[in-house]
Amino acid sequence: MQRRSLLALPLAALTAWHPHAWAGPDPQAVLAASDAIRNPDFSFGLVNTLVEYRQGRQTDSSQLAVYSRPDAVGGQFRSLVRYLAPARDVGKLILYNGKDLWFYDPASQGSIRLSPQQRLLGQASNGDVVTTNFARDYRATSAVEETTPDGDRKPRQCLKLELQAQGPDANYPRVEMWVDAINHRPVKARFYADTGALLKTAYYRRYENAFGTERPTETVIIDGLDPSWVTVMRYSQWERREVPQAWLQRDYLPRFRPE
Amino acid sequence: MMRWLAIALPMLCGLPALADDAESDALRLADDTPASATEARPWQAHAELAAGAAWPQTGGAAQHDTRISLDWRLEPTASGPWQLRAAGRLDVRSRPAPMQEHTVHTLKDAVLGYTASPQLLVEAGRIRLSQGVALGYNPTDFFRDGSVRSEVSMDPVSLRENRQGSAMVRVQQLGAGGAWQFAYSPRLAQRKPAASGWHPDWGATNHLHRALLAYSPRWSESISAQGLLHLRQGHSAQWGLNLSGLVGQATVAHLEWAAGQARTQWHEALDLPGPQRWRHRLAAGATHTTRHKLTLTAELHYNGAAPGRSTWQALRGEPLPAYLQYRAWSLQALEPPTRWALFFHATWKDALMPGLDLSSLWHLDRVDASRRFWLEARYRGKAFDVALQWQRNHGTPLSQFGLWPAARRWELSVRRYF
Repeated sequence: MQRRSLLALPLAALTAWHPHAWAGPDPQAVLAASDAIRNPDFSFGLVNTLVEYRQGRQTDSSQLAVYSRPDAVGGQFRSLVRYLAPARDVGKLILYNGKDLWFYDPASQGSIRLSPQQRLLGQASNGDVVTTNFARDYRATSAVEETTPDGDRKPRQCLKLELQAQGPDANYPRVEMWVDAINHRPVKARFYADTGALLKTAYYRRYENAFGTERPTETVIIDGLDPSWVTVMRYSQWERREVPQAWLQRDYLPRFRPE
Repeated sequence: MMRWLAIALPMLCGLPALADDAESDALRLADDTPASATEARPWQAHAELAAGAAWPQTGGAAQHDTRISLDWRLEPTASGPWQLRAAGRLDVRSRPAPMQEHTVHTLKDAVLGYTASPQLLVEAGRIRLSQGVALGYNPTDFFRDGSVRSEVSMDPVSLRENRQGSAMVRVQQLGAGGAWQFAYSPRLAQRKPAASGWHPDWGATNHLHRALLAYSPRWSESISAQGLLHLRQGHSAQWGLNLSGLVGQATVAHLEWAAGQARTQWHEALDLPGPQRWRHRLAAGATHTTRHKLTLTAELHYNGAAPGRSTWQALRGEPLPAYLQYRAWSLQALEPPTRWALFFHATWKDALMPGLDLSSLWHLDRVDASRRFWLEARYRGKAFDVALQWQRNHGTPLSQFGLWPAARRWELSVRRYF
C-alpha cells in the first residue's frame, strides 16, 4: 500500500507534464468562446462596410445592413442582408437561412434561389458577410500554443485551433484559427480548399465595445493565391433588435421595408 | 512559466514580426481605409444612353438607332403601418418598333401597403406580381401577359425588370409553417393598343377579372416549393407548381409547371373555337456556380398548348396575317410559339478583370431549329456601367427566330446611377 503511494506521486507529476494535461483547454470550448466574442447570443443588426483592393488600388465598395437572429434549435445565425450602397444595388436583399439562400431584386420584384457557392460580394463569401458561429459547423480537433503576428502586426501568444468541417453547412473543409491564449479573442484564421490550397486568410481586429463586450469591428480578408487582393469589412451601428422569424423566408422579401 | 517561455523564445530567436510581408502590406491598406457613411434616401434612379445598329433578316444596310431611358424607383422609409412605393421607366427611341411610340413610359408599380400585423400585409395599386423559379420561361408567372411594354434587351433579367404591373389588391399572410398569398385583379379596360406612350395601358394588364392563390410551405432548407391556382374570367382554372432544390454546395435545380384546361395557343390567338384539353407547360433546369464566379444555367422548355413539329410546319403555311397575329399574341403573352426549346445562360462576374461581367444566352427552338444568341460585356464603374451587347437571330423565314426583323445587332450603352 505504502509502495503504491510512493509510486503514485511521481506518476501524478509526469501526468501534469503530459502535453494534453497542461495544454488544458478543450479546443471546442475555446472555439465556442471565440464565437461568443465575435457574435452576441441574441438578435441584432449592424452595418457592414466592405472595401475591396487589388494591387493596392480600391476596386469596389459596398455597404450592407445585416439583421441576424440565432436559430432556436441549432444556434446558428439566420440573416437578412440589405444593400445600402452602391447606388446600383440599393434595396437588394439576400436571405441567408442555412442552405436556403435567396436573392431579391426590387428592380424586378423577383427572387432567385442561390447556391452557397454563389458569391455576390466579390471576394467575401456568404459566411464572411453574415453572422456565423464556427463551433456549429466545425469540430476543433486540437489547440496548440503558438506565437503569431496579430492584425496590428504584433506578436501574440495564441492557441492555434485546427478545425475540421462537420456537416454540409461548412463552407471550407479545413480551417486553422488562432485565438488569444488568455481571453480567446479571435486573432486570425486560414481557410483551405479540398486540395489543401490556402483560399484566404482573415484577420480579426479593431476591438471595440459592442453590447458590453470587446468585439472585433474589422475583418481583413487576404486572398490565398493573390495576397494583393484584399477586402476590408468594417462593422458599425451595432443595435440589439428584434429580427422576427417571419422575415426569414422568401415570401417576406418583397415586403421588407427599411425602417 | 511555459507560457512566458513560449512568448520569449521566438523573440529571442529573432522570428520576424510577420510571417508574410504581403499580409503586412494588406493590413496597412486596411489601416488606411477611411470610414465611410451612406445617406439613406427615398428614391433611386438611373439614366441610360444607348446606340445600336441592326442588320435586317432580309439583307441590306444596317439601320442605326438611339435610345435614352430614365428608370426610377420611389420607396420612402416606412414609419408606421402604411407604406408607399412606386417605380417606372421612360424610353425615348429614335427608331421605334412597328406599332410603338417614340416615347413610352412604363408604370411598373404604384402601391399603397398596410401592415395589419407582422404576419399580415394588404397592398393595393399597380403591382408587379412575378412568380416562377426558372430563368428563360416562367409558366407560373400568370400575370406576365401584356406586361412588357418596351423591350430594351433580350436578357431575361431585363425582361423581368422592365414590366408594368397589374392593378390588384393583394393580401399576404406569413406564418411559421409557410406563406399564403391572394390577389384579385379586376377588369378595368378593353384589350386594345394604348392611346399614347404615356397612357397607363390598363387594357394590356387588366382586360379580364382574375385571381391568384399561392401557398409556399416551409418544408426544409434544401427544397422550397410553391403551389398556385390562377382563375381568369372566361378561362378554366390553371394550376402551378414551383420547386427548387439544392444539389451540393454549388448547384440549384428547379422545376416550374403549370397546367389546366385550355384551347391551343393558335385557337386562343385567333379567337377560334377549339377543343378544351388539359395542357401542360414546363420549365426545368439547373444553375451551377463555379469557384471562379461563373454561373451556368441550362433549361428545357415545354409548352403543351403550342404546336409541335408537324403542326408548326402546317401553321406556317396558313395565310400570313393569321400567322403574324399568332406571333404577335405569343410575343405579348410571353409564351413560346412552339412546343420545345432549350435555353442556356451564362454569367461570369469579374471576368478577366475586376468589374467586368460577361453574360451570354443561347436559345434553341427544338421544333424549327431556329436559334438566337446574345452576348454582353458590362463594365461596372463606381456610379456608371458601360455595356456592349451583340445578338444574332438565325432561322428560316417564319421560324421562331427567323421572323425577327434583325438578323444581328450591336448596341453600346452607358448607364449613370444617381
